[in-house]
Formats: sequence, C-alpha cells, structure tokens
Amino acid sequence: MKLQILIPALVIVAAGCGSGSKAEEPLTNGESKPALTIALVFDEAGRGDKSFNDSAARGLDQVAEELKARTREIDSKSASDYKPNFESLVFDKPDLIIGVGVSMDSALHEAAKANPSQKFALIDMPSRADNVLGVTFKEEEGSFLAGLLAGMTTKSNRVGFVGGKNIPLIKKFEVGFRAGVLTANPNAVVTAKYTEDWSDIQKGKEAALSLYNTGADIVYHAAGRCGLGVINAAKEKGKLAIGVDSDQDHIEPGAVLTSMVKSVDKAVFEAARMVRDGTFKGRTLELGIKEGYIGLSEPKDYTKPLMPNGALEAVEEAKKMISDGALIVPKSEAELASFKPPRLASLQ
Amino acid sequence: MNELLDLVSATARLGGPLALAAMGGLLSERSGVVNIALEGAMLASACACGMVSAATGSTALGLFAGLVAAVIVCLLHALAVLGFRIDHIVSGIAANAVAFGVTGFAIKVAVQRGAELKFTPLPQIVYIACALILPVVIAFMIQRTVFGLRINAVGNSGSKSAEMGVNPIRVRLVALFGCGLLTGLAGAMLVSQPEHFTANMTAGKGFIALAALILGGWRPIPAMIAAFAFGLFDALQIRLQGTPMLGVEVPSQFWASLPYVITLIALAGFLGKSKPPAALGRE
Repeated sequence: MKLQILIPALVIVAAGCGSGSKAEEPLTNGESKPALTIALVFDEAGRGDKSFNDSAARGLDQVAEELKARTREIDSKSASDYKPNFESLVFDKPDLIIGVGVSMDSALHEAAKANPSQKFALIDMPSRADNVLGVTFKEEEGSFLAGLLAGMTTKSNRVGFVGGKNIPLIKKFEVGFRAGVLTANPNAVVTAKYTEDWSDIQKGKEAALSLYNTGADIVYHAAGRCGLGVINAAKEKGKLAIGVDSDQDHIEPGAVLTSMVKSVDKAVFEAARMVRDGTFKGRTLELGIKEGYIGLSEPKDYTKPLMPNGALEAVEEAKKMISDGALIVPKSEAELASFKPPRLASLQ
Repeated sequence: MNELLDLVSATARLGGPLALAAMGGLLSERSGVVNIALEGAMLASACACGMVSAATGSTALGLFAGLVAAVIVCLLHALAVLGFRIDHIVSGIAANAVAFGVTGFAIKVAVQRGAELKFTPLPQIVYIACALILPVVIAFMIQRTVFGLRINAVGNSGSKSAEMGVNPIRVRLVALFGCGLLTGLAGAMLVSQPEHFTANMTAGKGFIALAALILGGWRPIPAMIAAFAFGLFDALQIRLQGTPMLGVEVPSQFWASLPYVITLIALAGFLGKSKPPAALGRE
C-alpha cells in the first residue's frame, strides 16, 4: 500500500528538479559585508527562448558576476506556481526578488503587500506597491524602427506579424510595427496572426508559413519561444524574419533582417544595482529609446546586405526624432487610427 | 490551387503528430490501460530527438533517442499501473510531470552550457507517410492478427483472458511498448518541423490526440481522421486570422479556440455512441 503513495511522491520530487538554484558564490564577498542576494522567478518559459527570458537570465548572470551577488532562479511550471514560489523566496529574505513577465503581476503584488519590508522588481508591468519597482518598456518605439526597416525592405509590399497572445503588451509591438511600416511604405499591407501560446513552436512556424505563402516577405514576431518557429520558417522559405527582445540575428544568419532589442538584462542588472547602492524605490520606470533600453540590433555583415541603401540612415533619423520627443509612436489600435506618419528627410 | 495545396500540407503537418500519438493511445487503451501520458511521452521524445540530433548531427540517432525516451515514459506508466496498481489517471499525471520536469531541466542545462539546439531532421514526408500508413496497419493488426485479438481480449476483461491462458500483463506491456514507439514518432515529427526543441513544445497536443482517439471510438481509421480534422481546423484558423468576416474584425482568440471548441462539440455529440474497451482503467 505504501508504495502507491511513495511512487507518485518520488515522481513529484523528480519533476521538481526543473527548478534550480545557483549559489556558487560564497556568503561573503571577501569583505565582512554579507553579499547581495538576488532571486529571480521565471514564468513557464524559463531559459532557452533566445529572447525575453534569456535576456533576463543574462542580466542575472551579470549580477552574479559583476556585483558578486548570490543569485537564485526559480522556474514556474504553471501560473499556479507563482504564489508558492514567491512565498518560499520571501521566507529566505533575499535583498531583491525579481518577477519576469506580465503574468506574475497579481501574484507578485500579493506577496509584496503581505511583506512590505521585502523589495520586489517586476518586469513588464507597472508598480502598484511601495516596495515594488515596476519596469516597463516602450516596445512600440523599437517596433516602429523594425516596421520602418521592414517597410523599406519589402519587395512584395506585404509584411506580417506573429504575436504570442493578443494582450495589450503584445499589441504595443504590433501597433508600433504597423506605424513604422506605414511611415516607410504606405502601400504595404501588414497582416497579424496570434498563436495564443508562447511555447507551441510548431504553431509559430505555421503562422509564419501562412504569411509567407500569401505573399509576405518579412515577418516580425513577438511570440516568445514560438518565434523560433517563425525564424525557422523564414529560413525554409528563403524569406526574412525580424527577431525580438534579444538579438536573434545570429540564429539563422541571413534569414533575420534585424531584431528589436529590449534590454531586460540591463533592467535586471540596474534593479540589483539600485538595491546595492541603496537607491531602490517603489515606482514605475518606463524605458524606451531615449533611456537606451530599446533599439534595433547592431547591423552585421550578414544583415546589412539584406537592407536597402539608406535604410539605416532613416532608422537613425527616426530614432533621433523619438528620443527628442518629436515623434510619439502609437501603442494601441485607437492611437494608431489617429497616427500621422512623420516625414523623414532620409526617406524622400 | 496553390492555396489548397498550402492548406493540405499544413493539415498534414499539424495533424500528423496527433494521428501518430492517437495510434499510440489506441494500442494502450484497447488493451485496457488509460493513457494520458501521451503528452509526456511526446514531449520526452521531442526533447531527446532534438537534443541528440543536435549533439551528434545524426538524424537516425536522434530518432532512435526519441523513440527510447517515449518508450521509457510509457513503461514507467506501465510499471505504475500494472506493477503497483496505481490509478491510471494518477500515474499518467505523474508521468507527464516527470517528462515536463526532466525535459525542462535538460534544456536549461543545455542552454546554460551554450549548446546549439538546431539540427537537420528527416524530411516531413517520411513522418506524414507514417501517420497515414500506420493507422491502416494497426487497423489490420487489431482485427486480423492473433496479437491484435489478444489486445482486444485483455481490453475487455483481463481476468477472463487470464483464464483462457493469455497473460494480460504481458499483452499490456507489449501494447504500451508499441504506444511508446508511436508517441516517440509523434514527438520526433513535432520537433522536426521547427528543427528546434523548446520547453513544453507539445503544448497539450497529447491530450488532443486522446480526444481524437475517443472521437474515433477507439478505432484506428476514424481516430486518424479525427486527428487530421483537428489539424485541418487548426490550419484553417491560422489562415483566417486577420481576415475580417462580413466586415467585422474577429478577435484572434476566437479563431485560436475554434479547433478546440469544435473538438468539444464533436466529443459531446459523439461520445454517446463511442464505446470504450470494457476493462479500460479498471484493472
């Protein structure tokens, strides 16, 4: 009889191996002062998406290395794990707990309100408590640049977008992209598809294939791991993809036009640095091109030949207009409807 | 014409893994073992196939690793339900959790070590051919061969089969081994499309395969048709997204849920007629 209980129990313990901790650094950093301890909670994706989560992971690795901090990371197997994950971390009293992703918003704030002395940082959502640093990004600005480049590069005048979930956060990517395409090439048509899933990479590929097969020659994605399917579809069809969050140009050299880089890594590092320097404060940061957190990936020898002449100059011009405040990029359908494309000198 | 070809090939790619996994489920369930571990077996296979292919550069080795991984998950399930008489659903949930945890851990370690997970797979047509031919083979086997009849017998009543001199445990073990091979093929087909493994990439496909099996009344050819029908609706919804219907912009969530809603309606409408094996989950 006991085996009937023991076996599932063992199995559940084995399944729990998915969460790991990294605590190679000693408790003290050589001085008598105890080391900074930073904990980070991933959503269901975790490392390996070569995009959003890997960017956060790079930030954490940098925190461990440069700030000599003890870091710990926890993966969540489902949304129901967020709450227990935060609760168990709060028990350890790290200097900062970072939640990565919109879906943890309510679980993190619940934990923050129950533990007012614990510092939290939340990526992608605004703060609603005094001990929470909310880090949001102006993804629409970078998506605008990506759209501008796509609009100048497309030969078929058809471009596509593949989103992970049809939520306001991902809409910002789509709308910014549409505005950029419109600015560069008013004749180009943008079609958007949503996989409604972050991990179903097959569906990401199928969504992109359906766009390429109906004439699109460039597809921008904001679909987490599904996006790897988009990039694979571009390679297979000999068309172009645009990467997101991390620099994804190298994944299939020659099949990725550029990547909209959102520096989650820098944000994670800065949040940890603020805690170390004592400048941490519960508030919401909105980081965009001006702040240096959003932009396109560095052009490389294998991406430059994909772009038309003068494209990079137009991108630079738009970038300057955005950071000067001369151009406000729409971030919702309603704002897009009233958006007047700016006249860029380098586009004439 | 081009559009039709595009739709047919997308249906084959989306429905193929479901059809193969449904055939695996069929062997298992016709022998009397409820198998919700199809999901975990597919995921384990996709992970092993993707990682081994990427590491060795050999598609044959990758496919072999995928089959082995799925067989391990299915035999784990067999050990729990046949050896320790654990409830089939409980064991299936546990097997899925193990597969999820182990594959998640494996990819995390691989990524942290900077491993490249890209690989060149077998051509899709090989897998699509398997997904179309194997159901016919299995239909023949179940109805016309001694082993097929034994599977039916133990699926109807293990104790009566034992009285007739057929060892139900042995037959079910072989059936679950076959289930492992088929779900392994399904996982390998799945990971061969994006040529890349990512965590939880099955995203519930094992459960849809199970729904196709039930929809097909635990019969091979109807189950295969149900699996490809799901693939067709999925391919259709992807294509219909972003096209206004009668001038109204339909939200993507509606389209994305369409194949699942149709499955649900079909199951509700057909389930009265489809009869599970008598001993399913009872022994």
